Amino acid sequence: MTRKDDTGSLRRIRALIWKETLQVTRDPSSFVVAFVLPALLLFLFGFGISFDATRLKIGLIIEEPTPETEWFVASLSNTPYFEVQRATDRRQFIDQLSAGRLNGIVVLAGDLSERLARGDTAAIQVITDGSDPNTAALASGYIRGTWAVWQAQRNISQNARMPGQISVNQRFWFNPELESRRFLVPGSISLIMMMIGSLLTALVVSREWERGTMEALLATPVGIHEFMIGKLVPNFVLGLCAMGVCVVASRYVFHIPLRGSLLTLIGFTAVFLAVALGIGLLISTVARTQFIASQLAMLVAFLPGLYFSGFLFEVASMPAVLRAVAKVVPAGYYVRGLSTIFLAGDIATVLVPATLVLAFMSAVLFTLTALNTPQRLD
Amino acid sequence: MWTRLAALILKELLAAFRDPRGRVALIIPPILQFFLFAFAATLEVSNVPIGVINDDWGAASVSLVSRLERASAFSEIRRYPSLQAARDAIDAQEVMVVIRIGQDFSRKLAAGESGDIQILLDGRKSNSAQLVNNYINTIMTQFSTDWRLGSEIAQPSEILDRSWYNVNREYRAAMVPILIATLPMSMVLMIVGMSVAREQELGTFEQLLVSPLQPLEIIVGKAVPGLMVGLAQCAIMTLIVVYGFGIQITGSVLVLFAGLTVFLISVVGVALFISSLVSNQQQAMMGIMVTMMPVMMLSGFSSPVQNMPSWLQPLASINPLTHMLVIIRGVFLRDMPFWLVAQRIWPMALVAVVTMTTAAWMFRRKVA
Amino acid sequence: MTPLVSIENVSKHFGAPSVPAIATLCASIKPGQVTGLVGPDGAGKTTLIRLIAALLTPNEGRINVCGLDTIRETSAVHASIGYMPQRFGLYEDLSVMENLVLYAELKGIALSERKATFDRLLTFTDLARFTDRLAGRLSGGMKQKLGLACAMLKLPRLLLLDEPSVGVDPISRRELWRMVYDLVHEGVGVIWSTAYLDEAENCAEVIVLHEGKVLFEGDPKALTATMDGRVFHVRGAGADRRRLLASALRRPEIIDGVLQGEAVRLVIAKEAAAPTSEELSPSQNLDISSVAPRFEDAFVALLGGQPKRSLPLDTSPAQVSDDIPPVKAQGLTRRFGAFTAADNITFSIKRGEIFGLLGPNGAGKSTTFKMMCGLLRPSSGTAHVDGLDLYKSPAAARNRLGYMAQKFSLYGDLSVRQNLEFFAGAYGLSGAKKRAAVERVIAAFDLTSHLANNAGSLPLGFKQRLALAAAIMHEPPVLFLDEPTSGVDPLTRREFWSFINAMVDRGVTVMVTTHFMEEAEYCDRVALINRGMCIALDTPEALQASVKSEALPNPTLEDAFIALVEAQNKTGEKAAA
Repeated sequence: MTRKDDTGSLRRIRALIWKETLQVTRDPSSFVVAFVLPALLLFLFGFGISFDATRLKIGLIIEEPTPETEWFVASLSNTPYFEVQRATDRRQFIDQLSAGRLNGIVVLAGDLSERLARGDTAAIQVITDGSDPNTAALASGYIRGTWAVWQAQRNISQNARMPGQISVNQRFWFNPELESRRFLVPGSISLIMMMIGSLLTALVVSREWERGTMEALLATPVGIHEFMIGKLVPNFVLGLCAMGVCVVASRYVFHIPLRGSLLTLIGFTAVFLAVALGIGLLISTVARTQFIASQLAMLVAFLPGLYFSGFLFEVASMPAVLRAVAKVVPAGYYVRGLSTIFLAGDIATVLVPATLVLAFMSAVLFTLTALNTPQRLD
Repeated sequence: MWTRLAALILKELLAAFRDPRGRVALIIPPILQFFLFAFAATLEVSNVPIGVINDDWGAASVSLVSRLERASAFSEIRRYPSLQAARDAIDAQEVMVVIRIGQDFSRKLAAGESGDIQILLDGRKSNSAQLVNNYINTIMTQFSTDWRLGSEIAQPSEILDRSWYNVNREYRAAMVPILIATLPMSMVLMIVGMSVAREQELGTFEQLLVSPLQPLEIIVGKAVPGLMVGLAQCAIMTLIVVYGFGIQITGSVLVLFAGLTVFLISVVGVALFISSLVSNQQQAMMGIMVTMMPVMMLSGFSSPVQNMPSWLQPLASINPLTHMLVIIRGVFLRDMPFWLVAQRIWPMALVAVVTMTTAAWMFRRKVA
Repeated sequence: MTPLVSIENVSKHFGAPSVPAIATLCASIKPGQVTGLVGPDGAGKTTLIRLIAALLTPNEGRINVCGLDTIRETSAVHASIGYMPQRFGLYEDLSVMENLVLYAELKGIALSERKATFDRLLTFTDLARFTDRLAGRLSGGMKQKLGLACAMLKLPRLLLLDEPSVGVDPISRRELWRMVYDLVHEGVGVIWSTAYLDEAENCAEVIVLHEGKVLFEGDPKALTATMDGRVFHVRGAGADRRRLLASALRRPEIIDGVLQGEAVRLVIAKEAAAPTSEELSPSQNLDISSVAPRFEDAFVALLGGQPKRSLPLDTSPAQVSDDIPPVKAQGLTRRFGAFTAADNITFSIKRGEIFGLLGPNGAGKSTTFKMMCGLLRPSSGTAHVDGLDLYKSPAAARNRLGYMAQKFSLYGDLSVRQNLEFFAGAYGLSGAKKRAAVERVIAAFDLTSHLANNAGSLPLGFKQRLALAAAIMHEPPVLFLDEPTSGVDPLTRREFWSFINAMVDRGVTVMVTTHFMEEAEYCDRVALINRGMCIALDTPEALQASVKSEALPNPTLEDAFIALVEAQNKTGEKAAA
C-alpha cells in the first residue's frame, strides 16, 4: 500500500463513522437498541428487581396473649424486616397464606408462657410459604435471628444459667447493607454493553444488506474491513458513552459506591465491548436480514448474559453441563470484574485473569469474523 | 361472517407454521428458554466451596467443621491459615464465605460459655451470601442443640420451622410451573404482534382491507389463532411440568385454564395494540422486546412484587403476568380455591378489555 | 476501438452448477455509448451487472473492465466504475446532501473539488432545492436521480445502471435518459439493464439475454429491421378488437399481438403472408396496414413469439342492471393537512371498459386509486362501485370489486391452493360454492402444476396469475389493478393481459394504474392525473392527436403524456406567480 492509499482509507473510514453516527440517532430501531432498551434495563434492574425482602408479611398468631408473648411481638415488630398482622386463630391466616398475601405465619401456642415458666422447652412454630422458596428461606432466617436475640435478652434479664452457646457474628463485606441492587445494577450494565455491542452491530450490518446499500458500498473503493471498522468505532464509542451514563446513574440514582478507579473501569469495559462487538460482527456475517440478526443476537448474546453471567443466578448451583457453558460466556467474566470494581476495588486477582480471558475471546471472535467475512456479494 | 372468520383463522395458523424460518423463530427460543429456566434459573445455592479458619483445634471445632463438610450445599471446605489469606480468597472470589472459629471455642463451649464464630461473607452477591448465611446458621443451631443434649439444662424455647406447599423449598417446583404462562406469552406476542406488520410489509393487508372483511373481523381473525396456539402450548407445557418434572397440581386444572384463557386474551390484546402502532416487522420486534422486558421483570417472576418500591407496585398490579403467576403458583402448590383465583382473574380481564378496545379503535383509525 | 468491458466465457451459478444464472457468456461493451441489457425476468441481467461490477466472482471465465481484471484487481475496478443498484443504494435516513457527502468521501473526491462537483450534480439532477430532505422522503424519480448522482460523483469510465426505470414515471425516465446521454458525450460507457423495451431503442447497442445466454448482441435497429414488413395494424374492429386479438393469436402464422388504442398490432412469423381481413374476421371489413416495427416486436419474435394458449376462462360476472355505471367517482377530494392530494376528481367507467389512471409520481394517482378501492376515506366526494357507495356500504361494495395490489399481495408461505381457499373464504364463499370457485380459477389460470408450491417460490408469471385468480375468485364485475406489470418483461405482460382481455370480453370492468405507456395503450380510455387534478380524460389516440404539432407530427402516448403534464405545470406555475 502506498501512502496515498492509507490516507484514502482513513478518509473513507471517517466518512463511514460519520454516516453511522447520523443513522443511529435517526433510525428508530437503532435508537431503541442504543437508548431506550438500556434505559429500560437499568430502570428494571435498579428498581424492579430486588431480593431484599425488607417488608416480609408475617401473620402472628398469639393464642393467649401474655407479657412474655408481647415481648416477643415487640422484638418482631421492632425490626425493619417485618410487617406483622396479629390474630388469635390460625384459620384467619391460612386463606391469606394460600392467596399469597402472607409470606409466613408465626404461631405462639397457648401454653407458651406456661411452659416457659415451668422451664420446659417451649415451641414456636414458623410456617413459611414454600411456593416462593427464596422469600421463604429469607423469612425463616430473619425470624430465627429475631428469636435468637429475644431468647438471649430473656436469659440475661432472668439471669438464667445457659448451656454452652455458639455466638455467631456475621459480616457482609463490600455490601454491609445487603442491597441486591448493588450487584443487580452492575449486572444490568453488562447486559446493556452486550446489547449495544452485539445486537446493535448485528442490526446495523444486516440492515445494509436488507436495504441494498451494501451493494452500493461494495462497488465503491470501500474495502470490507474499512466497512467493519466504520461500524465498530461508533458502536464502541456509543458503548463507552452508555457506560458513562450507567456509572453516573449507579452513583447518583442508585447510590452504589465506585470503590475501584474510573480508569480501571473504562479499560475493563473496553475489553468487554471488544468481545461484544466481535459477537455482533460474527452474527452479521451470517445474518442477512434484521429479523434473523436480532433473533441470533438475543440467543447468542443476551440470553446467556442474563442466565450465565452469575448476577441473577448462581452458576455454581447449575448442573455440570451448564457450568461448562457458563465458562465460555463472556458476560460472566465481565460481571465478576464489574461488581468487584464497583463494590470492592481494583483487585488484581479478579481483574487480571478476567481481562486476559476476555482479550483472548475477542481475538478469537475477530479472527473468525475476518475469515468469514464475504468480500463480495456471493 | 363465520365463513370469512374461519378462513382468516385458518390462514393465520398456516402462516404462522408453514414458513420454516418462522417456525424456527417460534419454536427454538421457547425450547431454549425452557431448558435455561428449568435448569439454570435457580436462586438456590448449592455446590459452593466455603472457607474455614480454625484457630481452635479442640474437639468441638473439629466436629463442627466435619458437620459443615457433610452439608449438601457446600462442595468443599478450603482451610486458610490466617485472616489475610481468607481475605485474599474472598477478594479473588474463590470462596463466597469464610467461617472463622475463634480461639478457645471448644474450651468455652465445654465451660458453658459462648463460643465465638465469625462468618465473613462476600456482599458482592448479597442474595447468595444471605442464603449461604442462612444455611450456616441452621447448621450452627443444630450443632448447638446436639451439643447441648449432653448438657442437663433444657433449652427455654425452640423454633419449629416448616414450609407449607413446598416442603423442601425446592426452587424448581416454584419456577418451572411459571413457564406455563411465560413461554406461551412470548409466543403469542410474537405471532400476533408481528402478523399485522408482516401483512403490511407484504402488501397483503391492503388486500384484506379491500375484501368485504370488517376491521373487527380482521382483529378477531388475528386474535383467535393467537389464543388457540397459546392455549395449545399451555396444555403441552402443563403436561411436561406434571409428567416430566413430577410437579403435581394440587388445585383444579379447570381453574388454572380459566385463568390462562383470560391471561392469554389480555396478552393478545397487548400484542394487537403493539401491532396497531407499528408499520413494519422490525418495529414490531422492537415493540415486543420493549414490552416483554418490563412485563417479565415487574411480575414477580424473578423477584417478589412486594420487594419493589411502593411507587412501582401499581405498575405490577396492572401487569397481567403478575396475577397469572400468583394463580399458577397457587393452583400448583397451594390448592388455591376458585374464589381466591377469581380475585386475580378480574384485573386480567380488565386489562384484556382495555387493550382489545384500544387496539380495535386504533385499527379502525388505521383503516379509515 | 478496444472494448471497455470484455467478458470471456463467463459462467456463474448459485447452488447447483446444472442451473447456471450465466452460462459460458461472451460479450464486449464499447466505451462512449449506452449498451442496453435486456431480457425477460430471471434472464441473468442483474447477475451479469454484478459480475461486471466485481461484486460477484465468476465460477469460470474472466471479465476485464477498463483493462482491469475483476477477480484480481477488485478495488481498482471499483475505483473506476459507477454503479447504481436496483434500489438505488441510498441511505434513506440521510439527507440528499449527506448521501452525496458520504459517497464523495468514500470515492476520495478532493475537498477542493467537492463544492464544484456537488453544484454540477445538483443542477444536473435538479435536486438543489431538496438538499436537506431525507432520501427516504423523495419520490421515486428523485431517488433515482440522487442514486445516479451518487454513482457518478467521480466521473466513472463505466456506469452500471440496474433497472433504473422501474416504478418511475415517463417524465423522470426521459430526464434520466437526458442525463445519461450527457455523460456519454463526456466519454463514459454506460450499461443500462431494463425490462422496458422501448428504452432499448435508445441504446447504441443491446445485449439480449435469455436464460443466462446471449441471444443477440449489436445495434437494436439491426434487430428491429429484421421485422420490416412483418408488423401490421388492424383497425375497424371496434369493440370486438379484444376478441379479434385472441382469435388472431390462435393462428399459427401470427406470433405476437397486442392492443394499441383502437388498433390491434399483429406480428407474423418469418416468411408468412400478410393477414387479410377475411382470415381474421370474415364478418367485418377490417383495415390492415403495415407499420414500422419496434424493438419489442423483434424481441418477442427472438424469444419465439407469444406463448399460444387457449383460455377456458369462463368467469362470467354477476348480472347487474346496465343503467348504472360500474365505477363512478364524483368530486373525489382528499386533503392531507394543507396539501390537496386529489382535487375534485370525477369520472365514470362504462361496463366492459378498461380505464387507465396515469400520472407522474406523487401527482395524486395513487391517492385517487386508494379512494376508489375504499382504502382511503375521501375528504369530500363519493366513490361508487356497481352503484354502491364504498364508504356507506363498504362490505357490499367491496364484494363487487376485485383488487390486485402492486406487489402481488399473496401469502408467500402459504401454498397456491391455500391462498386460493383463503381468499375464497375471505369473500364469504363456503362449502360447495368455495370448492367450485377454487376449481374454476385453477382450471382457468392453469395453476394445477403449482398447487402445492408456496406462493413465494413461484416464477413471476405464475405469481401474477395467482394474484389475479385470487382477486376474481368471487367473480366481481369490477377489477382494480395497481401497476400490475411494473418491472415485468413483455412476455409475462402479454400473458397477463390476455387473461384481462378475456375477462373484459365477458363484461368485467377494469381500472388500472400504470407508468408504462405500452400498457396505457391497452386501455379504452385513460385519465391523466397531475397535481391532484384530472387534466385529461379520453381515448389514447385522442390524447395523442390533441398534442399533435409541427414539432411532433407523430406523437406517441408518452409524448402526449409529457406534453400535457408540462403544459399544466406551466399554467400552474403562472397561476402561482
